[in-house]
Amino acid sequence: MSDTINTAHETQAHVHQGHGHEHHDDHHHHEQSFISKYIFSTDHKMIARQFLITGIIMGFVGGFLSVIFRLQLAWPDTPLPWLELFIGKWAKDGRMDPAFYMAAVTIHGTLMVFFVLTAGLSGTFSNLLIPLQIGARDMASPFLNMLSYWFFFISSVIMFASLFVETGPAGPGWTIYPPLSALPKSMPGSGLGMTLWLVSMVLFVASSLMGSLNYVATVINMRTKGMSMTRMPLTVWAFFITAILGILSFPVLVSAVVLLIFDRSFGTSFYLSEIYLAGEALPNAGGSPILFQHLFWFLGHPEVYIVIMPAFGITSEVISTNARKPIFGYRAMIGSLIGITFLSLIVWGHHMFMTGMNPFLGTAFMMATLVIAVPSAVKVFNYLATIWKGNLQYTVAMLFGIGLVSLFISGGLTGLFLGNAALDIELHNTYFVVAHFHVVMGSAAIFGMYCGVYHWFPRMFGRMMNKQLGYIHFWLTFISVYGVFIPMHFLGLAGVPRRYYAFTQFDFTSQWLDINVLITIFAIIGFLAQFIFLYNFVSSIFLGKKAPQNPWKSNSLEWTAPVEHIHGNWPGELPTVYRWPYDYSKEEAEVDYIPQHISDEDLKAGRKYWEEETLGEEDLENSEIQETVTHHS
Amino acid sequence: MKYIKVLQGNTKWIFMAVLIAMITPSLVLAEDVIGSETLKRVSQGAGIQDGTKEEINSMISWLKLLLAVVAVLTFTVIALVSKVTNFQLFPKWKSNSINGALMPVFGFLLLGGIFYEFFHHSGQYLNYSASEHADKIDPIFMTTALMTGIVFIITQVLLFVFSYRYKGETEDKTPFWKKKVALHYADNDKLEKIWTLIPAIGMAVLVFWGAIVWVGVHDEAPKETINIEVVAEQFQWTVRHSGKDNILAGADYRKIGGGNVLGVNYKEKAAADDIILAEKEIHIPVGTPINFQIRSKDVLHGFYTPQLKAHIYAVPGMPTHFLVTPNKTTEEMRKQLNKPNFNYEVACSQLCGSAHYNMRLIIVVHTKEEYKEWLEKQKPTFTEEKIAQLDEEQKEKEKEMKKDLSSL
Repeated sequence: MSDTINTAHETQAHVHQGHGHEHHDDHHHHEQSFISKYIFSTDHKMIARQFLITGIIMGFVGGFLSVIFRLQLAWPDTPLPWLELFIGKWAKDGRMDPAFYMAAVTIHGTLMVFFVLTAGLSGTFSNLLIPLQIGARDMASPFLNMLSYWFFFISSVIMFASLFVETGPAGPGWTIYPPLSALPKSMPGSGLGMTLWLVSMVLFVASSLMGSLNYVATVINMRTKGMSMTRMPLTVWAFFITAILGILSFPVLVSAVVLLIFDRSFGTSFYLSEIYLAGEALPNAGGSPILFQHLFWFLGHPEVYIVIMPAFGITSEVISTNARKPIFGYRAMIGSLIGITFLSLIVWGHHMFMTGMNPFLGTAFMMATLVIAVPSAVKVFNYLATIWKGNLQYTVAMLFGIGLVSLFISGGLTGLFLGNAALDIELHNTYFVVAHFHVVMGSAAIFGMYCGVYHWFPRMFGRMMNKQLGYIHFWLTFISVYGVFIPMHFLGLAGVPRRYYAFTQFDFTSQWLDINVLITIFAIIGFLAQFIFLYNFVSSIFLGKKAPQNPWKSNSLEWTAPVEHIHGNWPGELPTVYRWPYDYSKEEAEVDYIPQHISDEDLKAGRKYWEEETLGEEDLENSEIQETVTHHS
Repeated sequence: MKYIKVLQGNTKWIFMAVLIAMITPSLVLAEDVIGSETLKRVSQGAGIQDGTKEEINSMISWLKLLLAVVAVLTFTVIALVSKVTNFQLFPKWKSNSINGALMPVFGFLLLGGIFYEFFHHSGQYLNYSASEHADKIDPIFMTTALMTGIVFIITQVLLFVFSYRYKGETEDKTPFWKKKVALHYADNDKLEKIWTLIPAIGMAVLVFWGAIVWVGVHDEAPKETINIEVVAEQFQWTVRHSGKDNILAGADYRKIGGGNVLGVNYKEKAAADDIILAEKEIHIPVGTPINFQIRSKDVLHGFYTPQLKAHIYAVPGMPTHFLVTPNKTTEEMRKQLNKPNFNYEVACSQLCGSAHYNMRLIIVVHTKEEYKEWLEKQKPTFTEEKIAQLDEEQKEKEKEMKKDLSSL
C-alpha cells in the first residue's frame, strides 16, 4: 500500500513541477510491483482499464438476465427445463418463478444503468481521456481515483453477491419504490437482497462522487499550456459537465436510500403510511411513498443524462475525426450540453404524472421536459451537418457513432409523447416507456461506449482490434437493437403494461404473444453478437496488431503520447497546445489534419507530423498478421 | 499452427459450409417452434393439454440442440473470420463502400419495417376513443405523431443518405488523410438559430395544447358524478359502489379485517347503502361522469384502463381519484371493433409484487336503463345483521388487544 501512496505523491510532484522539467526519462525504469501496477494502481490509464473490464463483465451479467426474462415472456406457458441449470430453484420444472422474474428485471436495470453505463462508460473514458486530452500527467488526486475504482468494485461485488441470496436479489424494480421495497413481507425480493442492493448503491454513489470531484478538479486545474477551455475536445467538455451533474444529483439518491434504510430497519415512517399488509395494520403513519419518488427521480432523471452525455462527447470526437471535418457548431454543442444539464435538474416530475401528484406540478414539469428537446435537437442537427460533405472513414467506431445518432433520433422523438402529461395518461408504465428509454439512453449510450472502446482501444492496450469482427458485431447489434425495441413501441401503443411476468391474463395483452417471440429472437441474436465483441476484445489485448502512434489520424493530444504506457503520460515536457482539436481538412496544411500541438510556425516551416506510408496498407497489414501468427506459434 | 495455415487456404469454402450448417437448424427451428400448432394454441390462452406435452418436449429438445449448435458454430465462425485467416467480409479497400452502402439499405428496411408494423397491427392499438377526455387527447396524439413522424423520416433519411453519399473513396492507394476532400465548415450561426427556433416553436405548441388538455382532465368533478371506490391490494381490486345516496362512507385502514374488507366506517349514515361488489366487475352507465376514488391497502398499485384512457396510482395513505365519462357501452365497442369478446379491462400498472401481472378487473359500461336495472338488483352490504357481526368482531379484537397489553 505504501508503494501506491508513493506513486501518487510522485505523480503529483511531477504535476506541480509542470513544464520544462527534464528528468522524466528515468521515470519508467523504476519497477512497480504487480500489485501496485495492476491492482491498487493510481495510474489513470490502468484505472480506466479496470473500470472498463468490470463494466463489461457486469454488462454480460445484465445482458444474460435480460435473455432469461425474454424467454419467459416469449414462451410463458412452455416449460424450459434447461433453465433450471442456470437459475436452479427459481425455475422448478422449467417454469420461472414470478419473484425471480421481478428480480431479474430489477438487477438487469440496476446493472445496466449504474454499473455499465455510469461507471463502465463515464468511469472508463473520463479516466482515460481527461488527463490525456488536456495534457496532464494524471488526475488531480490519483489516490482518490484509485479509491473511486475500489469502492465501485466492492459495490459490484455486493450487487453480484445479492444474486445468490436465498430469498433472491432485490425485486421491486430498479426504481425500488417503497412501500414494496420497504416491507420484506410484501415480496421475497424485499428481503436481504434489497438490503444488499441499498448497501451496494451507497458505496456506488461514494465511488461516483470521488470520481466526479476528481474529474472536475483535473479539468479546471491541470490543463496544459495553451489548452484553454474553448480548445478542449468535446469529450472532455462532456465528462466535465457530466461530473458536475453527478455531484449535484447523486447525493440525493443517498438521502433517499438512507431514509429507506431507516424505514426498513429502524421503524421510521418516511415513506410509509396507513398500510394493511399480511393480515396486520402497520403502525406507520404520516409518511408518503411519493416523497421517495421525488428524491429518487431527482437523481434518476439527471442519471439518464449522466449516461448519455459522455456518449455524446465520445461520438462528437469520433464522428468529427472520421468525417475528416470539424464538428459543426462547437460552441452550440457545448451550449446544448450545459442547457441539457441545467434542464435535467428540473424535469424529474415527468416520471410521476400519474402518481396523484398535484396536476399543476405536472404542467410545470411538462414544460421543462419538452424544452429539453430543443438542445437535444440542436445536437442531432449538428451531427448531421458534421457528416455532410465529409470524407467518411468507416472505422468500427464511426459506425457505432452513426448508430448512436440514429438511435438518439428515434428514442428522442418518442420522448415527446411521454413528456406530454396528457399523452402520458395512456402511455405511462407501458412498453412504450420501456422502448423509449432503452433506445434513447440504453442502446444509444451502449453504442457510445462501443464507439469509444473501438476508437481508443489502441490507446488503452497499445494494440488494434480486429476490424472484420467489429463490423460484424456492429451490424448484428444495430439490427437486433431495432428489432427488439421497435416492436415494443407498438405494444405500448396498445397499452401493454411493463414488468408483467406473462401477457396471458388480459385480452389486450395476450394478442401480442407472437410479437414477443420475435422480440426474444432478436434479443438472443443481439446477446450472442456481444460475444463476438468479447472475443475480439480479449484476443486483441494479447494478439492484436501493434497500434501505430496515431491510427485514426486524429488531432487531439492523447495520440501524441507514446503507445507504450508510461507513468506521467509524456516523456519530457508536456505538449503545448496551439489550436482547437477540430482542424480537419484545412487549406494551409499538406495533410487533412493538424494536431493540437502543431503551431502555425510549424506549419509554415513544413514540419512533418505524420508518418509516410511506403507500403500499401493492405500489404502492411498482411505482413504484420504473418508476424503475429509466427510470433505466437 | 500448421492446421491454421491449411485453413487459411480454404477459408471461403469452410466459411460457406459453416454458414449453411448454421442456417439449416435455424430454419428447422423456425418451422418447428414458431409455426407449431401448440404454440398457437398456447398463445391463444388455451393452455397445455396432456396430449401436447410430448410435442412440447420435442420442441424443447430441438431448442436445446439448436442453442448448442449455434453456440459452438458462432465461435467457429468467429475463429474463422478472425485475424488468423485472410478471409475478410469487409475487405480493407472496400470497407468504406460496403458499410456506406449498407447504411441506406438498413435505413430503408427500418422505415419500411416501422410502416409495415404500424399498419399490420392497426387493429390492436388504442386508436379509438371511448371516453370524453380521450376525445381531447387523441388529436394531440395524432399531431405529435405527425410532427415526430415527419422529423423522424427527414433526419433518418438525411443521416443514412449522407452516410452513403459522403463515404470516403478508398479504391486508390492514396491514404485518406492526404486527400483533403472534406469541406472545412465549422460554424454557421444562422443555421444554428434556425434549428433551435423551429423545434422550440413545435415544442411550445405541444406544451400549451397539452397543458390545456391535462388541466381539463383534472378539472373539479361536476356535481352529478357517480362515486365508485376501487381499493387495490396484493393482488386484487375490490370495488365499493356508493349506492343510491351517491356518498361513500369514510374508511380507516385500522378497521380492516374480518368481515370489513375495506375498513369502512360502517356506522356512518352514508354507509347504509354502500355496496361492496362480490364480482371483479365495475358496472357504470354510459355518458355519465364517473369519479373513481382509488385507495391502496398495502403497496403502490396503478389503476389503468387502457381502453378508457384512465390512469392513476393507488397510493397507501393518499387517496387519489380519476374522472371518466365513458361514451360507448361495452356492446357498442364490441360491434365497432368487431370483437365479440371485447371488455374494458383494468390492469395494475405499477409493480406491486409477484402477481402484478394478474390483477384483472372488468368495467362493464351499460346504457343508462340497463345500469338502473342493475343497481336496483344490488343489495347494500352493511345490513343490520352484518353490522351486528362486525360489532362482535370489533369487540373480540379489543378483548385480544387488552389481553396482549396485560400480558406485557
